[in-house]
Amino acid sequence: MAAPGRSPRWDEQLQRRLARGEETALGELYDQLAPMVHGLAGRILADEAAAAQLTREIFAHVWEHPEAFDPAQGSLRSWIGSLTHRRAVDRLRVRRAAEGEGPDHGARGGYDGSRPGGGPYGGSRYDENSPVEEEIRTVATAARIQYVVDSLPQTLRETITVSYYGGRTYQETARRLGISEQIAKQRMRLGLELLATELARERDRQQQARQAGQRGHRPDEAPHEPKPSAAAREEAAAPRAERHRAAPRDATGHERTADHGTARNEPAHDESAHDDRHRNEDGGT
Amino acid sequence: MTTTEEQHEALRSLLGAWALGACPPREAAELEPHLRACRDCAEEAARLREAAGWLALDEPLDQPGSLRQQVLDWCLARRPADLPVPAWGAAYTAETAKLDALLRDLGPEEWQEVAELPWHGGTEYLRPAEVLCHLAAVDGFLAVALGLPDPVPGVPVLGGPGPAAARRVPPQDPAPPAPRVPAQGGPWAGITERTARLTADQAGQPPQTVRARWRRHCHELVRTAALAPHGNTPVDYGFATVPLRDAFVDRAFECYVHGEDVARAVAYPYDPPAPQHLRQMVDLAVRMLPPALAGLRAARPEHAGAPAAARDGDGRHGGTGRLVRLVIDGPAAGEWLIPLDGPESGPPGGEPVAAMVLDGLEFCQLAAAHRDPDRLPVGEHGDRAAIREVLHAAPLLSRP
Repeated sequence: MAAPGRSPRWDEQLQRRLARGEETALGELYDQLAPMVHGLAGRILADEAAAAQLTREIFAHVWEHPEAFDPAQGSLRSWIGSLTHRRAVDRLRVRRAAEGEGPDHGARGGYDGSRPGGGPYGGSRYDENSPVEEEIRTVATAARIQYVVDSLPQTLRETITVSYYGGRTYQETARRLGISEQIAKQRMRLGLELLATELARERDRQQQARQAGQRGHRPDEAPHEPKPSAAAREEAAAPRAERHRAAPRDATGHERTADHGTARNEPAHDESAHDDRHRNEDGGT
Repeated sequence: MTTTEEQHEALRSLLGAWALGACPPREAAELEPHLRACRDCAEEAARLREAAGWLALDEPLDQPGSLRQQVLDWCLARRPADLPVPAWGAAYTAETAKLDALLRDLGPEEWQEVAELPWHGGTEYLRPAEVLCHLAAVDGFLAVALGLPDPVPGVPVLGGPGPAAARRVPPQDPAPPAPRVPAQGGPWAGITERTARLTADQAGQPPQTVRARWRRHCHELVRTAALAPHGNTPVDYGFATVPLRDAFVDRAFECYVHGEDVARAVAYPYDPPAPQHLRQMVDLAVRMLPPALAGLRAARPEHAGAPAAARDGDGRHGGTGRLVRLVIDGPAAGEWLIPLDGPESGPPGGEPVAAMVLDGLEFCQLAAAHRDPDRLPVGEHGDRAAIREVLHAAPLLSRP
């Protein structure tokens, strides 16, 4: 995907380093993605011990099977995000079934936590209309949206949170952030636009999953998310790209520059950072 | 059409604020009739409002600080690393990750808080991003020793070769060179000057950019050290030269201390180092104590336990220097013997003249000049003056 002559992406460099057994690569992977993995797991499972356990399993899976990541199908972040999401939802189903809430509990296959390699999650039946499935869909959507909020470019996220959680008008928000009222309005509109786009994608995804379920396939068995959402999710890079499409007039050059590298997880910044290092390796020692 | 194109655009630009409930009532009252008339705006308004509805969610679980180590241990037990982080680099990895996790959650106002960084000669007042510049400026000594670029920008060449005079030799294991003569302007002038230079260079950058840059330097440092783990590589701090294995522990120590300084300023909790890392920090501080004790004798003889006087009675120069036994309590438990007197008193030996017992974290806080040596809870046995000497020497290990 990278243009010829350009450094490979951070994802692929990290994948190679993981394959070589570099402990520092594992640490960097953790530092970059643990907030997402643990946050997503915690939001879906609503239980600290379960979230920590799932976080351990996800990172162990990637550390033991770095080759399972296919860069052609999306970013490392989106792969790990969908892996986490899938397993968290699966665990929630198992828990609900064990609690006797599911209509077909007892028929579900248990999740085998000792099998980090994944694979089919047993022969549980899938009833899309059950209240449990409905609730799981809601929880999953909420988690996904919250994740998108968290990974919005810093300026957009900040404007939305200062206003929404602080109960401030756009004028007050602008003053507080030291930006013009015009910019504040633009950022609110743009930020929500990105969330709305993501919401629509999430619904498409669930729709596809339900159809797949009706055809007799568990949606969880797909190694990656269906294409439409894989491209869009979990990346501040994606919202940045989206912005050009969503509001070509509104996203001023000024704002774009200010945003660069300040998104919550700085994927783009880190990428260039690692490119620097790559050059150092080539030309240095 | 009752609205002009211009009015339509003006109202349309309000939609985000309206959906967030951030429009003053008067403006909302203008917008709402327009939504009944304009299909485009109505559609967008509905979309944005629905998206805003998903914002009303609980905060996710806080990530417990101990999770990182748990997860990494779990992973490494299943697949041991082929290229592990050397034991002396582990504390640095953990402490920089902990500080990074704190900073990740800081809001714009918290980045403006001023942290107090006490040391034995005073207190520095720095914003979190400036603390990062300070940490990175000193980390740069290690970067240079490892053959990496110095994060501190170009040295204005003034008085001779400073530590930053890019010495790009590959890591190796020679004998540690002789100590350097302190630079002019006090031993720490180099650190202060480098911090100022890096801070000036980063001024005007968004704090999260400063953070990302600092983080990248941390990762590069650990990775380079892990790929070629030569713990004896000399690191030139300007006022002293220490082996890389100690320099990493020193950096972990300072990162912990200043991380806690920042956490205090923004009123966040901050976990102490893991026991095995705390133990390394205590060990380093203990090994650095003899020069600090010598400094104390020179600067404040009233605190020095007057070894000459002690010896006058039984004939001067008994041939051995005194020892104090340091017993560390708590999770980093261990025992150390501290030679109290300089080489002129002969090699240290014999029974320790005193034993002191204190908590490992408290000892580190003392060495960072974050505790009053006269108010620290210490278990004391034997020569109390000797114990006072150690307690008053420890804060001298702190730097600006």
